[in-house]
Amino acid sequence: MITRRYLMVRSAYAVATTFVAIIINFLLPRIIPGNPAVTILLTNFHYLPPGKVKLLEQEFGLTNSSMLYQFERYLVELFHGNLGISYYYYPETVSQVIGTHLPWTLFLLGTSISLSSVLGVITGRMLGFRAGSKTESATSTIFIGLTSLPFFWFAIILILLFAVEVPLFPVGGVFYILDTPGLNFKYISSIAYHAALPILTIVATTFPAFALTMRNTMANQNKEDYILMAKAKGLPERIISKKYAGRNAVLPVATHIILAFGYIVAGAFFVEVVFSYKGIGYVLYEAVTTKDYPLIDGIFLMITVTVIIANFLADLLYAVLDPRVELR
Amino acid sequence: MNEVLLSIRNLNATYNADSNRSIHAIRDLNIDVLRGEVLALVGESGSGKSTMGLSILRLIESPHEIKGNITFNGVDEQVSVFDLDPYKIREFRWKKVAMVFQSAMNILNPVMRVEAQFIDTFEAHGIIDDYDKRINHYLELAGLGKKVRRLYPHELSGGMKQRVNIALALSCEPELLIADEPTTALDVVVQREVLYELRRLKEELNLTIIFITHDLGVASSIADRIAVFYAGRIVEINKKDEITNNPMHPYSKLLLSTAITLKTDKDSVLTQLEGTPPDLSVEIKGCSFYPRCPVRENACKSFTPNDQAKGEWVECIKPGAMNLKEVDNPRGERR
Repeated sequence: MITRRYLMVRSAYAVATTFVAIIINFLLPRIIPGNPAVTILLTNFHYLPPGKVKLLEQEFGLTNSSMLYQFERYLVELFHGNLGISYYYYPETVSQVIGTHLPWTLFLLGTSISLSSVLGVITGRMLGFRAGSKTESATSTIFIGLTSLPFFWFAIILILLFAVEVPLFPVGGVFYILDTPGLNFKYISSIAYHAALPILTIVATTFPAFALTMRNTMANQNKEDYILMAKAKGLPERIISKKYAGRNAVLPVATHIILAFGYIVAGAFFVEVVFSYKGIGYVLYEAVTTKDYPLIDGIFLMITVTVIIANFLADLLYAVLDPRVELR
Repeated sequence: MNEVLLSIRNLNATYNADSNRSIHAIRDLNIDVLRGEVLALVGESGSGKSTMGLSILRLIESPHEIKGNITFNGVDEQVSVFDLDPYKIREFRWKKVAMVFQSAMNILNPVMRVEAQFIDTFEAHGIIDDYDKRINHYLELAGLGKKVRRLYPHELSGGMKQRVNIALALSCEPELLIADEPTTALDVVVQREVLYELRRLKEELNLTIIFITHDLGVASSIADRIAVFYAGRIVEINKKDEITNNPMHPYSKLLLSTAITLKTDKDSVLTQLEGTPPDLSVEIKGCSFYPRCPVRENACKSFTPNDQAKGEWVECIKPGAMNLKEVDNPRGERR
């Protein structure tokens, strides 16, 4: 049960958290040593033309202005929906950069996390129902190994095996440059083809964690009285496993999954970098290495807001899944 | 009335706690349950009463073991419970024998509405029509309103949950109802209501009830026959009046004298049972009550109970020998 009062208080908290996050987002890139003007000039001219540094600094508003003044300008522009101009993608605006790359990340992560949560819950339920058996302990051990593998290492191994040694899949990229974007089969299959290995990486390294959590809560279900009751009622094992044990065991796992979805916009940083998959994670990597303050700010802000919203939704969904939860 | 509905022969139930410790909760138990009677199983915690109930539904699962023979003489067919295949046992459960469990608080699935827990039971037993009518009917039978259907278990009080359990237990029209301490968690007022309800339903639906309790007062208010359990065996079984007025086994006698009823007069002796029940993980030789028995003698050590199953019996070398007034009981109080 969710009361209106809870919604209001919880929203107020969310707004406050967002504001604090904005302050931190603003400060962080400015603490990093280095000068973006120098970086841009070096990338474009490979030397520093005299006077140009000062000129560029002035153009970006980096000189003669205090931190406080910069922050004030930042807030004002932010509320006008203006995230600034990217240094690296100059003259594209931050919103444009995010706009072009976000869909790829949403596609990649959305598919992977959906697959991995469904797979995790189903395998976890099977493992939990047979907890203690030999197959179960063997599978669980393998799963613990899989969760312990770092994303990027697994990605590199996959590239080595399936893109270099046996060239089944491309080493990187999002689609063939020669393909014409649009709703044609060639383009779509090219996207799927390029996404196969990155999706495999994310699914293989994340679903075992969901499965193990599910296994544990599921194994504990066998001690519950309502499971004994369900058996006594003569319900088929399939129903007991699904509607009784599974339905109750999934509650803690659900929170885990929704929070994972919160990071959907952040992109799987390492995976995108290793596969040169031009999503938000990859752009963030570029932005950080070139000290593209506005772009870093913009991406961080977007991640923060999405995570805050996901947390909010996780709370609400939990109340929907478990009728005993009351949000007052 | 005298037709045997359920006969249990040489039932042994063993709980395997770990590889080197197993508890023999039921030892060579024999009993006949008659159609239409209320049979109360009375005894201390751990004496095997609940285990007998679970054994009838074959709910004792590996690594624990049950052995023996349980025959159920249903109206339409006779079945041997331990020989049923997984599909048949599923059909047998609830349709022939249903159970009201002890822990009313956690017995309902917390995330399903009450009505959904009826519907899945109906579906499992091939009842496909008139869900609404049936649910309302059984809720009403158990003394609940229709509104309860739409509620979740946590929105019900303890008494209401127990009534829902009773309604659920009746929903597939079983021939035998096992009520495992259905009133233990309830306050006395609700307890009385539930007992009254059970008795009424028994008459109305022509049920046979096995009523498990540790409360002799409750047992004597509902039962036709009472079986006294001790250390995994029935030490005495008789008609209710016989047991309550003239118990023959020293244990039954002591158990009775520990209870206070409104009829207890001020001269009667209230005793406390000394000692603890025997360790069921080791084999018991002779009479299991020997260490605690006030009238024990050497012959009791070699006493082997004969395997009776029918009628009334006492597992004692000299039934009725003990006179409470003579018992030297230092903790005994006079009221």
